[in-house]
Amino acid sequence: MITSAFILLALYIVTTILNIFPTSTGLPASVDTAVSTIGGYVGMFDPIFPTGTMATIIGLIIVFELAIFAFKGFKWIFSYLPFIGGK
Amino acid sequence: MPVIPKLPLKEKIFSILSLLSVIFILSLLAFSPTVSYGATYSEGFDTLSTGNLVGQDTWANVSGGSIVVTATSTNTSSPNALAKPNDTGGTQKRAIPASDLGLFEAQVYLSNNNDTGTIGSASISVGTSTNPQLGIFSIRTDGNVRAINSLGTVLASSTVATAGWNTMKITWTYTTSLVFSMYINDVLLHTYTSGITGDIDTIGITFGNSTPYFLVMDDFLVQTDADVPVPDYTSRIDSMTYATSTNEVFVEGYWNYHEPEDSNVDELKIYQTDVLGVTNIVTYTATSSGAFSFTYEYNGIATTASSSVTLAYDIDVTAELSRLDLNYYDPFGTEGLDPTGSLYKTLIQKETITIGAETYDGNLDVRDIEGIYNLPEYACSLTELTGCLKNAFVWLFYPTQQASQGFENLKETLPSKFPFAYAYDFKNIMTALYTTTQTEDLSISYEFAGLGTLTLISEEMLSAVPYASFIKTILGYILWFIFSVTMYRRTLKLFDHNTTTQ
Repeated sequence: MITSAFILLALYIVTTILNIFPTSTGLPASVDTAVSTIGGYVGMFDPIFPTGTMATIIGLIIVFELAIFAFKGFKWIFSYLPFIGGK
Repeated sequence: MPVIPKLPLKEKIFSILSLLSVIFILSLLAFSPTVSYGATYSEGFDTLSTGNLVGQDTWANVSGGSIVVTATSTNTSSPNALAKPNDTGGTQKRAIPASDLGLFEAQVYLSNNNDTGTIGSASISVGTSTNPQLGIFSIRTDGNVRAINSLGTVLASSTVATAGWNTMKITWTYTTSLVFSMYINDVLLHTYTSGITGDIDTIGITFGNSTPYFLVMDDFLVQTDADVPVPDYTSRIDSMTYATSTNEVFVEGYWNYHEPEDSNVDELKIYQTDVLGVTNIVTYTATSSGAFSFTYEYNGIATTASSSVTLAYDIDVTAELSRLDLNYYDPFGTEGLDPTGSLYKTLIQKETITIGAETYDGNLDVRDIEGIYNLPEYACSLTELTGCLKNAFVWLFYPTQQASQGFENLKETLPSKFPFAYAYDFKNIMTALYTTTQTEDLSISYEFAGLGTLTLISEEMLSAVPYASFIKTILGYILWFIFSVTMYRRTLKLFDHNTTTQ
C-alpha cells in the first residue's frame, strides 16, 4: 500500500509533466543519412581502431550528462515545491 | 586541477547516491531490453486467429432425436457464424431417424475459413431429457483439440433402475491419441483408446456404425441392474495434477456430507510450501456427498511471461482430506485455540505433489518478481500471529501490479515525447548502424582528371597494418583509461561549488 502509493504518486507527477511535451514526429531523415555516412567512414578504421569501444564510451558519456541534466531539473522543480523546496 | 569539494561527507554520499539512482533509472528506461508484460492469455474456443478456423464441433452417437446447433457471432467484418450440418447459419436442427444409429458431426465456425473474429456463443446438444443420447463434445481451434467437456448420457435399458445411480460421466483426454474413460458411480467401467491422432477434422462425419466411437457405445450399454457397478463411497483423494501454464493444481476425489446430527464434516485443505513457508491456504467443506474437483491456483511464475524461465525453487502443493468432529474440541490440535479450526480432526488422506525446476514460457524481467511471489498470504491465527504480522507488512509494502504496470506505461510514453524521443531515435540509428552488415570496401580516395584514382586510405590497407589487432586492443585500453579519468574529473566538478562551470 505504502510502496504502491509512493510509486503511483511519482509516476503520476512524471506522467503529468511528460504530457506537457509535444509528441515527437522523429528525427529528420537527413540526420539518419549523416550518421550513416559518418559511421561508414569511422567504420573504415575498425581494423585498427576500436570504434565499438568508442561508441560505447560516447553512449556512456551521453547517459551521464543526461542524468546530470535530469538531476538538476528535478532539483530545480523540487526547489519550487512549497514548504519543502526552500524558496 | 579539479578543486576537491568542501562538502560534508553525508551530503557527498547523498548526492552521489542520488546521481547514481538517476543514472540507473535513465539507463533502465533507455537501454533495457524489450520485455513483454501483461500479455493477454486467451483460454477457450471463442477467440480465433486467421487460418482454418473451427469454433466448436461435436461428434454425437445418436439413435433418434435431433442434433441442435446454435451460434452467434460478434465478428463485425464477417458476422455470420455458421452452424453445421446445414451450413446456413443461426440455429440448426437436424432430425436423426431412429434407425440411423451412428456418428454425426456438428460444427460452429465463422463463415470464411480465413476470417478473424469471435464467435459470441455456440452450443450443441443432442437428444432430449426423455430420450437421452450420448454426445461426445470437443472444443477445437484451428484443428487442435483445446478442451473436451465431460458431458454425456448413457443409453440404458428401461428395466434398469437408473435413479439409484450416483454419477455417470465420460471423460476424454487427448494426449498422443483420443482416449475415452467411462464411469458410473465413479467406478471406471472402461477406457478406450481411439487411436485417433492429429487433426480430427480430417476424420469427421464419414464415420458410421463401424467406427471406434460405436465400440464405445457398446461398452457403455447397461441392460440390467447387475451391470451397474457397486460404488465406492469412501472419502478419498483420487488424483492431483498440475498445469504450469496456468499455475493451477487440480485435485479430484470423493467426499461425504454428513447430516448435522451425525456431527462429522469432511474438509479438504490445500496449501503450498516453498521458500516462503506454508502459504496460500484454501479450505473446502463438503456440503453434499459426491465427487469433488477443485482447481487450486498456486503462486508461481507469472503466466503472462513469454520465453523460457526456470522456476528457481520447488513448490510443494499438499492436499489434506480430513474429517472434523463437531462435538469435540481439541485445544492441543494443530489449529490450537482458533475457534473455527479447533475441532477434533482425523486425517483421512494427505497427498503432495512437487512442482519444481519447470520451464515456463516467458521473459523474466524484474517485474516478474511479483509473479513469482504474487501476494503471499500466510496462515494467520491466534497461534500464528507472526503470519498475521507478515500479511500486514505484505499489504503495506508490497507494490501492486498497477504500480509496476505504471513503469511499463512510462517506458512506452517516454520515447514518443519531444525531446526525449530524439535520444531514442538517435539510439535506434546508432543501433542500426552497428547491426548493418557492411559489404563494400570502404576507402577515401581522390580522383585525378584523366590520371586515375589515388586511394589515400582504405579498410583493406588498414587491415594489412602489422599488429593491427594488437594496436586496436591497446587503443581500446587507452580509450577506457581516458574515459575513466574524464569521468572522475567531471564527477568531482559536479560537487565543486567553488567553480561556476559544471
